[in-house]
Amino acid sequence: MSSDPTHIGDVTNVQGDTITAAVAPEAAPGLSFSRGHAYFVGQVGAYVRIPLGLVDLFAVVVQVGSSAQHEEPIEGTIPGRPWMRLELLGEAHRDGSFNRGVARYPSIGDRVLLVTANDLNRIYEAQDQRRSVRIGHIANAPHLPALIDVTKLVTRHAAIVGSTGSGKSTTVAAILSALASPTRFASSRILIVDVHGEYSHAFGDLATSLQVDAAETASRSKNIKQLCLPYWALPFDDFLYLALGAVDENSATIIQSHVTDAKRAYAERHHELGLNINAVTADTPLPFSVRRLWMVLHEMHFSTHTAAPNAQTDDTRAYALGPDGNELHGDIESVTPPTFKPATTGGQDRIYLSGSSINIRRQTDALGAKLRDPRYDFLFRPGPWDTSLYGETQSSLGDFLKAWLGADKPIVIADLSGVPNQVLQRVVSVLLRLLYESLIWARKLSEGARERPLLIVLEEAHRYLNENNDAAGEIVERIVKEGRKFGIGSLIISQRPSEIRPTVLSQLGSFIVLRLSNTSDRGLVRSTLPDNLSGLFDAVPVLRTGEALITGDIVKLPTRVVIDLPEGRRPDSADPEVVGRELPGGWDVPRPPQDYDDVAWAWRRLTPNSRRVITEDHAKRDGEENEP
Amino acid sequence: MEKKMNRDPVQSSNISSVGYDDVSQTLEVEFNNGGIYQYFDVPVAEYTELMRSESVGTYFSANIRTSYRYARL
Repeated sequence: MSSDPTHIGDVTNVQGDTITAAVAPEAAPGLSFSRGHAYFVGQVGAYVRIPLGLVDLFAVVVQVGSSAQHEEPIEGTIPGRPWMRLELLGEAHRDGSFNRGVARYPSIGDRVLLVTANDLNRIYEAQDQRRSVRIGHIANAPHLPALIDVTKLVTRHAAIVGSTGSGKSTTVAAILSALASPTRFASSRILIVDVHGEYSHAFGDLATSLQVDAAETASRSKNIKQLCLPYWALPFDDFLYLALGAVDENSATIIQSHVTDAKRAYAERHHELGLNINAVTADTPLPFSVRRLWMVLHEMHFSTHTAAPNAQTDDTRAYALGPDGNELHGDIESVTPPTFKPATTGGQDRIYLSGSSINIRRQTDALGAKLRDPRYDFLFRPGPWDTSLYGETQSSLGDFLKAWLGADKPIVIADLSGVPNQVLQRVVSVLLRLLYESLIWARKLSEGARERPLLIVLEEAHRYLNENNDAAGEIVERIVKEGRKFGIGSLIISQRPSEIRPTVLSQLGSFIVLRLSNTSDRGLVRSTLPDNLSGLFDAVPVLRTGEALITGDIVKLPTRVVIDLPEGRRPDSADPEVVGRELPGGWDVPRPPQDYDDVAWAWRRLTPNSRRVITEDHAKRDGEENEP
Repeated sequence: MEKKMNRDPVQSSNISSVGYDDVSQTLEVEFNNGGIYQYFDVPVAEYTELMRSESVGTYFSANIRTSYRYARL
């Protein structure tokens, strides 16, 4: 036969896109060499090439065997000779272009060749190298780089799925550090929604981390800023949910009209905004004071009056008197409620209950509690976007957008680890909605995402994209369905893809599948995969840590890839080693002195840092918390 | 020494740099894999000894690693 060392077999059976080939006797499974590189023959997952005149068919090995092991010989195999089952992927033309799908099938006796570095380079080089980034190398062939298409990654959406410990964080870090490389992509724009606070340190100077409790963070990094989500910029329904929870329709209407009035008053004070007063609604992102709203609601419920309900005005309120004889009006800024005289049922100075029809007592009290709760400060006292009693803010909405979309670093991390769990899902949803809305309106501007696309990375996506919560799921569904028109893409990362709503998963163009051991997750991913590669997918439970199967738009060929370990730091998610670690700690060394007061301190403050840690601004904080 | 923590590079198989703040007696250690730890209440003598020792890594493992309270940064 041929002396071509890349010749490994001959086609013996063609059935749809599945091809059986007999392995050539001189290419018995094992090593083969071509141009100085070693290739494994007959490895599941390896590429092969079938030349067919002017085109090359590309296929992947999905099964190998020897027909002697089968009781009934597989059609097209020669007894006693090893065979390979191949699945067709596409065809490469002489000019290097590559198409999915094939126009012609191979015929019996066609030669099956190893795919060498040259063959792959031809495919990859035909498309501009500048469009792709390297994230690793092809498994079984360390000299072949694994490239992914940046445009397809961002605009067609992708998912990274894998069990805990399969290397998800490494993969994310490898992809994002490639995308954020300042030398290659001077203005890449990536937003990471990080619910566990794992990424703040992973990207060093490439990222700005926005944290809810930035002031508490004893990190020395200047890349950490305060995360603010001004309540007044939210759509009214979201504001209502976050502030008051479930509210009946009558009360919602009363609140909506209060908010609308406050926003219209702002528009009237600020003619420079050029807004038509009548076009301002409760959804318009204009400031109003939530604390004043709370006071209004509180007074509606709890005030008592010296007049009957139909004659009640602000002046008829019956405030109780304090010990110094002053009326107890309460204080809006510190969210202190006023005290009223108790209602009486008769007599000359009868005190009447408030005649308001609103009935959200419990929610109003809960709002008061939230306004006093420092964990909600990112929302209700949002730093420079906080609204004064008179409805003015220090910073504008533009500054808010700049912090999120116009940061001087390529990566912005929304570290939501300090957000109370009850509202986490809604906060993710609101954040994405705000940014998405603003980018839709910026679609013709150079700041918009059509001109400078945005990749939204959704870490731990099953926590807020599950079926029973329509809040965050709804906006992400919109992003995956229509985001590419506006240049907004998503990269969804999860260990439980079966908990993510299927309508989101089914829209994704590409999958990076790491080891998945859960059967239901595997079944789901297999059914959503854009490429029908059941054979290749069977390898998913045995993928090594950091090894991934990549399918879909971002790769030319479905590829089994070993992800590069990114240089420098990784996300803060590595499992702790129990024994035998290089770093401090572990069970096999004596324990250092313990101080559980420090633990309690951290817990009370909701910060993961010790009070003992020294920071750059140590001099300023000196004497405050540090012991002598 | 000023209060800002400056770490000096060291030659070791697992430690890449070491810093010390004598006001608070805090020792800061950066490992080769990027992890940074602060050890509290480390006497200045211990720090001097560490920096003078022939093998920083060995001295660290034997005398500091399990003797002082620490926090990962």
